[in-house]
Amino acid sequence: MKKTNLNICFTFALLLISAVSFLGCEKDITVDFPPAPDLIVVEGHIEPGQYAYVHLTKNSSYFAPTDTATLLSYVIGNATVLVSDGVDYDTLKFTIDFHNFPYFPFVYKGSKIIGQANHFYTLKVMANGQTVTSYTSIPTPVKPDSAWFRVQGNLDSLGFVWIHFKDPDTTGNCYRFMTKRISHRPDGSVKDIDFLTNINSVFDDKIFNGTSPDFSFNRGHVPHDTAMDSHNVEAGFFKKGDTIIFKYMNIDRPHFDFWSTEGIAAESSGNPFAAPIMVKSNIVGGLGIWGGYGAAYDTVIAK
Amino acid sequence: MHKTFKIFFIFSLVFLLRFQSSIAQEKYTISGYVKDASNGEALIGARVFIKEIAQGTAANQYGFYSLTIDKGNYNLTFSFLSFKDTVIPIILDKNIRLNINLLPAAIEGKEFVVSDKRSDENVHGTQMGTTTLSIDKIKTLPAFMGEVDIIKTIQLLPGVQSAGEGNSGFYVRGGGPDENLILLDGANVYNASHLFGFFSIFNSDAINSVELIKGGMPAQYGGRLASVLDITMKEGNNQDYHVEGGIGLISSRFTAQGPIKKNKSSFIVSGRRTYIDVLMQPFISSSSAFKGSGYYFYDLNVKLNYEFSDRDKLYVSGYFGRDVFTYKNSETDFSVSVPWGNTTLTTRWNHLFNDKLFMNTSLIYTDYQFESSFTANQFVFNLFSGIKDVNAKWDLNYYPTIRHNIKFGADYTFHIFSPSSVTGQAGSVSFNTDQIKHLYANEAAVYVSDDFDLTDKIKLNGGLRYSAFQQVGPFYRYGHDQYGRITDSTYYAPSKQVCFYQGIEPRFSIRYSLDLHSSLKAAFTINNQYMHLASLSTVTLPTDVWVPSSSVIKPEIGTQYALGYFRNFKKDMYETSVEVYYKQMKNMIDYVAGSTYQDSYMDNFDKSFTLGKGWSYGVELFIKKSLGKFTGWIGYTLSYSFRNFPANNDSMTFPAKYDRRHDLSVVANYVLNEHWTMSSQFVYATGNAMTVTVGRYFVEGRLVPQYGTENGYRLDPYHRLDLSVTYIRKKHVKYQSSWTFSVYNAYDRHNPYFIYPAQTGSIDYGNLRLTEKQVSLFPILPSVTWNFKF
Repeated sequence: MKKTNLNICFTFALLLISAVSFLGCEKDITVDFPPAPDLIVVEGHIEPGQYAYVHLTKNSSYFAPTDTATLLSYVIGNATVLVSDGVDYDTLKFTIDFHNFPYFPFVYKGSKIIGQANHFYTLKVMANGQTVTSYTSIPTPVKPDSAWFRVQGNLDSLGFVWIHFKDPDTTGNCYRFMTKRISHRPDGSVKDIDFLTNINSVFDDKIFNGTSPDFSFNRGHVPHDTAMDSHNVEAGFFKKGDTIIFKYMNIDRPHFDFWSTEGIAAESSGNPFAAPIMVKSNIVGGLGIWGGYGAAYDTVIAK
Repeated sequence: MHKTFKIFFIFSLVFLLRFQSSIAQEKYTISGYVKDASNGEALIGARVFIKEIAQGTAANQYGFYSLTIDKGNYNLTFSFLSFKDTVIPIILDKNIRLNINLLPAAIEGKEFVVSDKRSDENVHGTQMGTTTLSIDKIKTLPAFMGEVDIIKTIQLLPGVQSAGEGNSGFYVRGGGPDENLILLDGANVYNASHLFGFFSIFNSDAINSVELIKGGMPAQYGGRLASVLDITMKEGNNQDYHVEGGIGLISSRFTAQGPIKKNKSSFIVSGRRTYIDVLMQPFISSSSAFKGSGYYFYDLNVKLNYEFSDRDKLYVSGYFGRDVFTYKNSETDFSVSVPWGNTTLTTRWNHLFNDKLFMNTSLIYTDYQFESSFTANQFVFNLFSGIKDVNAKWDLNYYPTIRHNIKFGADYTFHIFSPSSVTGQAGSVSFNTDQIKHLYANEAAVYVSDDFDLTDKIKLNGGLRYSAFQQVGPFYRYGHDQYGRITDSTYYAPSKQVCFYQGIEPRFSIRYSLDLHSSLKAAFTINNQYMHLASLSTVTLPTDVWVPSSSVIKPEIGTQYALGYFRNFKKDMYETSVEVYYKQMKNMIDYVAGSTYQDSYMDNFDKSFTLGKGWSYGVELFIKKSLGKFTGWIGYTLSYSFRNFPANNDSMTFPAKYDRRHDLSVVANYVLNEHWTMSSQFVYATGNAMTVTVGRYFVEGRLVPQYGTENGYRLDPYHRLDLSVTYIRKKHVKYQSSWTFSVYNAYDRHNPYFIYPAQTGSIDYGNLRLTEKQVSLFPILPSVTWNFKF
């Protein structure tokens, strides 16, 4: 769903920011905060027909440097990572993942258990003397009835992807979406090497349960993306001529809670008026997410 | 329930018996109203003193007094500090009705008052932690942007803290803003501020008196834990027509008042509107993407009264105010419209059954609404929240003998709560939110209290309040499965009880006179609070939502113990006091960590709340000089306030947002001559406790902040000096005008409003930089206001 901000704080921020810029002042200060405890950060998922896929990093103090070498040093490479479907165990293997180059280009990948809809998966990670565990499910995929591209307003060739879908009658369905442009740039490079999301990539059916609404989605962005069209007027838009794979994922509530609160937290980062929000993690003893995706795919040609 | 009524009944009976025994000799009653001769306004709290027996009483909220004493000859002195004392000799051999109109003292600047009460009241009364403020006095103090604000003056009293820079929210003795009962002509005001609290909704031109009770709350008030702020609107001049107003930097005010029928009936209409939006318009070019954005607020106060006879008087008063914020960005096709505000309507009927029994019946409607609508592309979202009350009150004052002042009465409120509800539309498809969610509740109370002289040295105020609360249908309670999905719902039909709570609230205070000029006082009170304000934000916003007690949210219960020593020096020229208090609060509410406003949409309204406890304690020092050319006060508070929520902050105790270790206010006022008055105020407060970002991690390459312990960091201390000068042009009988020049934050202190981690550069290009920034709101701000009156 196109991000429509319900957060009123944001509105008031606008008003107050204008007041502050009019009268107030800002200055850098040095602060002496108590350090955050060292924790394992999990970013892992599993979806039907695929093996489990888990990134492991460490947290750090907020004001630590952000150069590539520092970020690389957060990768945990010596962990034991186990995934189970309740019957079998899969010991994930540490390998290079070019998708995430250059920041966190390593991943633990499964080789035994393949995800299935309506199955449950546990995760256990042991590293640096800590053990974290988690549990997730893959809900039944909900495939949109149709998906299309539409030019936004009078923007000529730029627009959003729209879908029409039927939400199941049961309440509490949660969704996440991603897109990937598989068309090429004039220089021959593929536009997106991976599925991309934005902050606030999830929504639930609270306000449209059981109906068949139309929703529009803008184009996602990954950090470390220096491509021109991620920074110029085309940022956030799809363009006529793009071939887009649309990934629509049915997710469970704890999985939704993570992306929902992470979205607010990431958005609040640097926003002075945001209330502190605790990201709801399903990782026991650590941070991050272990989530199952009930994924459905569709292809849209923008014309 | 049966048992509680029984206790209540016995308690009432004991009171009645106490004074019955003292009615033996031949006694007569002298009673009447004390008013301002120049305009007919009631002089609330005016003193009536009988020299011969060295006893007296104070006029009630409508200016009524009654004294029942032995037959004899007496001299009655009526006094009210900025008025001339009036002495009336009487021969009391029958019941006498004596209405007194006091003349204002010639305003030569000889007397200047902070309190309108007779200045030894603080030593002799049983009340603790009570302050009455004079509007005239408030008007000479330096005002933020020239806007005179009664709540900002209240923040300068010990035990009362400002909610933040330029903020009219206030915290009393470690309690939250929702624990203050703010009454405007008896009507509950649920959100007393405009524009983030920079201004309060009270237009000082329409206000007659302001009383703050922060401890030892009398039994006629209830429903809140921390304090009562009782504001009475002016009745309107019943002698002549007058117009007054003021033009300031950001707003203008206009008030008209006069008799409808001389001595019988009068009216007052007072309005105020800001014009920042109008002033800003020329600076926003018509091609700007923000054309059409703006902000303003306005208030309207109206009051009418009619005196049917000496025994019956009717008052109708109302307040209507709105903040309106619009934001438009034509480039991004994004627009927001946010109106919010209060409405109150009060109808009161005063009736005298006889010389000893005064009754007031009130019918009150109050409403606070917040709305916002967002439009972006084809999406329209509307958010609505608010609260609406219909309230009936029945209050009686009974003055059986001079030793007793008995108050009893009943109070009933029907509440309609509207916690955040959202409706939406995407193109032509409406989301099935259908309707705004309402919650219904009944709240009722009965009370009795007696303020009586036990001996010459000991005066006691004993009171008892019984309160009850009932949430009623229509209401849906949803059940969930382990994934938080709604699996079932229980429906409660209209008027059907959902939950019920009740409580006995004893209120005691005692004064022991050490000598003529000093006394010791002690107070013990229990208060129940059945409605709650929960805030997710670090600043108080108009979006904060009032919610009722429910089967999940239990009523808050506060117990307060206070002890004080009061002493006056130099013929009451200096008043001093030391008060200590300890407060316990049960069933405080907070959002569960990780909650968002959206969590309760289409679900149980109380889904995100968790209960905990709080406690606060402190000592308050106060020195006041109320007479002479030089007046002012110094207030200092040392206080502690903590909270503990088992579900949050790893069950660890943390300092409340309202925890302020040191709080100092110095107020000085000097009347140079009949033209010039100078004022200054200085405040110092320990920095706010804040939750800050201590760590970070990355998910999908995005930076996610990690927060430290709740309120685990202290901002730098807050301090500020304000100055003002008022110039009154030579007084004319018909016409008067004055100029007030003020400077806010005279030495341009950059006080921390908040701190936040700022990001510069971008992780995309590998040049992201993270720093902590401190935001200060108001630098040195001069302002000028012109006031006129004729």
